[in-house]
Amino acid sequence: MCNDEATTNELKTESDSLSEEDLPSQSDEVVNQPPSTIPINPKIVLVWTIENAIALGILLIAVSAGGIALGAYTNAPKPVLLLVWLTVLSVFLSRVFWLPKRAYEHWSYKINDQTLELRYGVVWQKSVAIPLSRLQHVDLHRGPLERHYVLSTLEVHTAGTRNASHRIPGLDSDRAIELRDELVIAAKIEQA
Amino acid sequence: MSDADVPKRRLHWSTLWLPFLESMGASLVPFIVMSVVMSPEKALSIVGLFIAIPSGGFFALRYLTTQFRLTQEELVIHSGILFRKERRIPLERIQDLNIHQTLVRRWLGLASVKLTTAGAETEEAILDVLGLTDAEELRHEVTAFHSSNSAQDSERLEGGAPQQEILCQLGWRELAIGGLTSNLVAGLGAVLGAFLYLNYFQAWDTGKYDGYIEKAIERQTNKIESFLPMGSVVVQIIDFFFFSGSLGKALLFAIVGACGSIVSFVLRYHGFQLTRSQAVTSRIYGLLTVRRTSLPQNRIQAIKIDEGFLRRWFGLAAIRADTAGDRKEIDENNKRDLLVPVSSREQANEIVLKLQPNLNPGPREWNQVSERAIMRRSRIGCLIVLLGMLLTGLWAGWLALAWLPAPFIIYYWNLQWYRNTKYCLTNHYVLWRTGWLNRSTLFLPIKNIQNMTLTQSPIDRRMHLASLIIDTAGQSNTGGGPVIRHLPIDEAQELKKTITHKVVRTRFAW
Repeated sequence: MCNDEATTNELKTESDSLSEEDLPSQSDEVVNQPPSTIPINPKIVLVWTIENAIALGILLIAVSAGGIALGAYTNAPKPVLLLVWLTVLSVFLSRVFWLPKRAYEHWSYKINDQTLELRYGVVWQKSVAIPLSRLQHVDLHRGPLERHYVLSTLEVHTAGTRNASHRIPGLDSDRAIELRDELVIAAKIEQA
Repeated sequence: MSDADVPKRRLHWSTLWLPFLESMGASLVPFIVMSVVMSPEKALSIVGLFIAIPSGGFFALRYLTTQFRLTQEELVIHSGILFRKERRIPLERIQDLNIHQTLVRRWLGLASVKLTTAGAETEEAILDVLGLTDAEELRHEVTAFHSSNSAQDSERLEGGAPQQEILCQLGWRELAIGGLTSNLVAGLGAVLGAFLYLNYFQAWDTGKYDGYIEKAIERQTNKIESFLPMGSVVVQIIDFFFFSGSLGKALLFAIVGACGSIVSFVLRYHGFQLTRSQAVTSRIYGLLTVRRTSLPQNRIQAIKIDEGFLRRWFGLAAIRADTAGDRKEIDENNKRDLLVPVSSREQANEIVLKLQPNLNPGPREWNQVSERAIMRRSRIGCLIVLLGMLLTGLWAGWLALAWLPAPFIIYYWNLQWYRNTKYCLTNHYVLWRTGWLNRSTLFLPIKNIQNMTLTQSPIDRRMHLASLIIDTAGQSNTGGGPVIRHLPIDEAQELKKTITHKVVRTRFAW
């Protein structure tokens, strides 16, 4: 792409021989899933739905109660109240009934012996590449709901500053432990 | 000599009284305030009881309880009053070692030493107060450790080269120019403009000046005029600067500001010298407070050449560098530390090439982001203009037409932004250049890249664009890895893939 010819050519051949399946086949979207990518556990949809329903449900109830009180006892403009309530309602509905499924569909990860790649995001789509040699440490999280569905969240940390750590949610607990050990070993070998 | 045999050392005995006196200096203002509010005796007793005795005791205890030991591999610090703490800092983990000497400490031959590592949020350890010889010895040990560890690096440098190579030295002239062109002056230009503007409107609005003080001084100047030979010229000069309208005042402000800027630059960077011996660069600078810092070359995470708005006109630049130990939050006075405060553009390039031996000198083939970015950015600007136009139209009718040139300016601005936003991928580096009026060029060794994120917003998707975020350790001085926006999606994916392949083939060292 730049500078002296010889080395660039050499690099090109090297990268060609490295891993052909890494190449995304089409490139209009960040999210396109070649066969080697692994989806996360679909049970995560339930976890996200319940989590969002609880968090946003409380907000919805609070806003409804507040709106009714304001509407009944003050002369606050009713269309504005209605608009606010409708906004909160639509956020509630979309995040409970629409978003978890879409988020699950967009989530996938891919691991080879050198990099861990994550793809996720419904509105803002992201694709992250983490060279295993740059891993600092790996965490496992299990919330109460995740425990109930035997799921885990894996968090990998690099020495970066802007996006130092990344999470993979919705892993089977066994798979998460396996993946963690795999990553730690790979990181060790890479750094040795 | 085995490590256990290395004797423990104490801080310099002046730790008993010097930091105490310095902290007393800080409580001088509250003392004066209290003496005014209550009687001086009362104030003295309060300050003595609640400030002087505790802090005196604290520093005495610190002297008595702190001991350190420097072995061949690590620095061991024993400290703690109630809870004893033994901290072992492996020399290879030390990112940066700074020696600070205030004016008083210089007279006394004393210094304080700050160590940073990658793990700690702030300084890993502060040794305060040390004798200068102890401090220099510590620095020498750390430096020697890094030099011997990167022996293969030093072999690549000319074998018979002198031990210490001076990379950059700043004399009075350079410092004066540096101070004059620091962004402070650009800010003063703005002040000047604002001043003119305000005064113009003030005069326009009220149609009169208060003029009381001016009249009083006019009487005095009349006297001067009759007194001095050339009196009229002097009066005219004084008149121009102080009284006759806003331009003089604004100019005066600018001149005073420029002098202040030069003075502060000279105070901070007097006697600046950047040297390199083997793979460690050292800096020494400062007029009153002298700072000595050592930066091992392989610790540099990213390096950046900054050409401020004014400096570009003069062909000048500054260099910033980051280690993994640098945090984002650094206190006001030290923020955004400069590796080289000012030098010519060519010299800055040379220094960067010397600090990064793997970097090709060029010429470089720069890649630009997508052309669609110009219109995208302009559209956003134009939307804002349209909104402004509507509001102005409602409020002041025809005045809304004053907004008409704005879209052209916005377009031109974005065109220039596009022309000056470039990246370049070499074998070992990612280069990233931005800025039209002020330009900055980042040199990021690929081995220091930690991870990469490609993101697409809904608008990005519609325009087939994406942003590539490159993440590195340490970003307080250079701003860290680039965020390359508005890349065509194919190119962004290709770039991410290429860089990833390069990254996995290198080893990251702190």
